[in-house]
Amino acid sequence: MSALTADQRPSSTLPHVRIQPARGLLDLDLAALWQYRELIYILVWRDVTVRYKQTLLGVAWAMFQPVATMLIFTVVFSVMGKIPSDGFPYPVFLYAGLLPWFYVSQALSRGGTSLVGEAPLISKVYFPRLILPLSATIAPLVDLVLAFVAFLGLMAWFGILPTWRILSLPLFAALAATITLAAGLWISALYVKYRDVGHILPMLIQLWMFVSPILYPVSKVPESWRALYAMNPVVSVVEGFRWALIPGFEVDFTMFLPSLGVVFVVFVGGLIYFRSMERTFADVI
Amino acid sequence: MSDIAIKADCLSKHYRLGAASRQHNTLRDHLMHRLRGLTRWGGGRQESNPSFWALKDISFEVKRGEVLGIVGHNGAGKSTLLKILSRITQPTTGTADIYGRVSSLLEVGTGFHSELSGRENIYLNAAMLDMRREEVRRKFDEIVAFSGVEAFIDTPVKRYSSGMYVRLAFAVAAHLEPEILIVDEVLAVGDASFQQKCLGKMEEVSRSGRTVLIVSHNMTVIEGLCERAILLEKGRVAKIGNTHEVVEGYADAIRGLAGTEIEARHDREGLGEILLTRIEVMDTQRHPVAAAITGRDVVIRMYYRCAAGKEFLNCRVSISVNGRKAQDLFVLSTDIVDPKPLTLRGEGYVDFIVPELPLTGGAYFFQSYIESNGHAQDWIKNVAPFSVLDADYYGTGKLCPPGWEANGVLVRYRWEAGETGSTAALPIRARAS
Repeated sequence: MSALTADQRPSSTLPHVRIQPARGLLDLDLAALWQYRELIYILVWRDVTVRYKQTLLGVAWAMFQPVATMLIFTVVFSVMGKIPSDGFPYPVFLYAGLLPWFYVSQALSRGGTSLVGEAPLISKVYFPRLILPLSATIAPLVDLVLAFVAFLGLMAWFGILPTWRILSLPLFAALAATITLAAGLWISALYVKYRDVGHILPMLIQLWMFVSPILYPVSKVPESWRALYAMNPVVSVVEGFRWALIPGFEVDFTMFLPSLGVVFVVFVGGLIYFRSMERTFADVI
Repeated sequence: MSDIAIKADCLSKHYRLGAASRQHNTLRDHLMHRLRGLTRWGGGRQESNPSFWALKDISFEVKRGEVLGIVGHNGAGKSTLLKILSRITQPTTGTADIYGRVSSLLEVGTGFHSELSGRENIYLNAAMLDMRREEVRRKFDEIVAFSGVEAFIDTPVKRYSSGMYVRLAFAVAAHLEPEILIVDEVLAVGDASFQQKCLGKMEEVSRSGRTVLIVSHNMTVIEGLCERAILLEKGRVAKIGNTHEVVEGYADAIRGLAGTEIEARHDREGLGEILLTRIEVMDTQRHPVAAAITGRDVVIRMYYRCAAGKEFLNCRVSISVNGRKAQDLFVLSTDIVDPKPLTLRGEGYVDFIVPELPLTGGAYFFQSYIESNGHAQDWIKNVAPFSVLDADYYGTGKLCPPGWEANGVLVRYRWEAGETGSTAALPIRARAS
C-alpha cells in the first residue's frame, strides 16, 4: 500500500534539496525546470484550452482574428493609403508580417503579465518561476500554427505556391519565441515590482508594431536609418517569415546580425534579472 | 544521519518593515527617490528603512516519520518558516536540507482554474504540486471517489458549490503521498467535517511513516498529534522538545505577553497619565489561564497605574476584542453597563466578567482604551493576544454550518416553528439554544 513508500526507502534515494540564499548571477537550475516539465506542458495546455472555452467559434478565432485584421488593414493602408508592398499582393505581404506579429504581441502581453496574473500561486506554491513566462511564450505558438493554416488558404486564393523555403519557418518562429521570452523575462519581473508596467505594456506593443515592417516594406525605411532599424529583432522575424513564405521575396540577411546580438544581450540580461528578482517575488507580489 | 527528513541550520529571514508602503511600487517613486539620493536636495536625507528579522538563527532537526508541531504567537515567524521550508521564499542566511518531496495542505485549491472542468483541474493541480501525470492517472478514480463529485467531474469548477470545490481540491492534496507534509492552520478554516478529514489524513500520513509539520493555534490538535514541538518567539526558537513542555511554555508565553510587555509598549496614544500595565485572562476563580474556552465564563482583568498623587474622575475603561482581520467583534466598557462614575487613583484593576464566552476557538486580539473626563489617557491597539479554545457552545455537539462561522461570534437563541395553513395555527415549540 501507500504506506510502504516512505518508510522503507533509504534516504539516499529520496530527493534531496538544499535550501539556501541564492548566490551567483546565472544560477539557472535547469534540473528543476526539467523536473517540472509536466507543469510547463499543462500550463500551455491550460492557456490554450481556457482561451477558447465557452466561445462559439472556438479555435477558429485564432484564424478569424488575423484574417479580419488583414482585411481591414488592406483596405486602410493599401486601397486608401497606397502603401507599396515591393510588388507582391498586399494581402499576402501583410499577412506574412501579421502572422509572426500576432504571435509576438500575444506572447508578450501574456508573458509580461504571467507572474502578476498568478500571484496567489506564487505566494503559496513552489515551482521554478521561470515556468510562468516560459509557458506563456509557448502557448500562443498554437495560435500561430492555426493562423498559418489560414495563410495557406490565402496563398491558394492568390495562386501562389510555396517553395522549399517554407521549411525554414520553424527557425524564424523559434527566433520570434526567443525574442518574446527575452522581453517577457524583463517585463514580467519588472511588473512584480512596478505596476506601471501594466499601463506601459499595451503602449509598448503598439509602438513596437509601428517600428516593425508589418504594414510597410523595409524599402520604405530611409537608408540612413536602416542600421538603427535593424536593431529591432522583430524586423528579422518579419523579414524571415516573408522570405520563407513568399516566393521571390528577397532579404538582406546581413540585417539580421545586429538584431541577433540584441536578442542575445536582452535574453541573458533578462535571465540574470529574473533570477535575481525571483528571490523576492513571493515577498513583494 | 540517514533518518533525517529536515535539517535546518541557522535559518534567518530579514524583512524591511512596512515593505508594502515603503517600497517604491511605481517607477515614478523609484526614480524620484534615486534623483533625490543623487542631489541630496529637498530634505533628501537617506531614509533608513526600519527592518526586522522575521526569523533568526533557527536550527532544528526532524526525523523521518516524526510529527512536529510549531507553535507561537502571530508574527512569531511560523508562516515564514513554513514558506522557507516549502521553498516559496528564500532565507536571508542559513541553510535547510530536505530529504524527500514536500507538499503542503495550505495549497488546497491553489491553482484551480474556474473555466476548466473538475477532471482537468485535477491534472492541473497535481502538476503544480509536482505529481506526475502517470501517478494521477493511476489514482484518478480514487481521487474522484474521495471527493464525491463524480457526477460533476466534467463540469467547469466555476459551477461548483464552494463545498464541492474544497472537497475536490483536498482530494488531490490528500493523494499526493509526499514524504514530508506541511500543514498550516488548515483546521482554522473549512467546516467541521473537512477539519475532521484533515485530522484523519494527518494521522494516516504520520502512521505511514511520513514526516509531518503542523502549525496550529489549537493546542489540543498539537498535543494530540505531535510528539515533539517547537515554540517560536519573535523569530527565535524559544523552546524545542516534548510537546507538553512546549505547549506549557506557549501558555506561559501568553501569560508573559499579557504581563510585562505592555509596560514597554510605545505605540500607545493618549495623555498617558493613566497607563494600562497588564491584561490577564482568568477563570471565575480568578486564576490566570493561557486561553479562554468557548461557552465558559471568563474574566478579563485590566491592571492600571495612575500618575503619582493624582486622582482621575469620570473614567472609562474599555477593552474590545478584535478578530483576525482586525475588525472589532465586541466592546466591553465600564460606562455602558453601569453608568456610576468611576474614579481611578494609584494602582488597581478592572475586571470584566463575561459569562459564557460567545466566541469560537481561535486567535483574537485585545484593544484597550482608558479615558478620564472625556480625555483619552491610554489607547493601545493589538495590546495582547486572546486565545480561545473551541468547545461545544450550544451543548448539542454541533458546529456552525460551513461558511457561516462569520467572525467567530456566537449568540444564544432558540427557534419556534408554526403552521399557517387553513387549519388554525397551533404553534409547535422547539428549543434549540
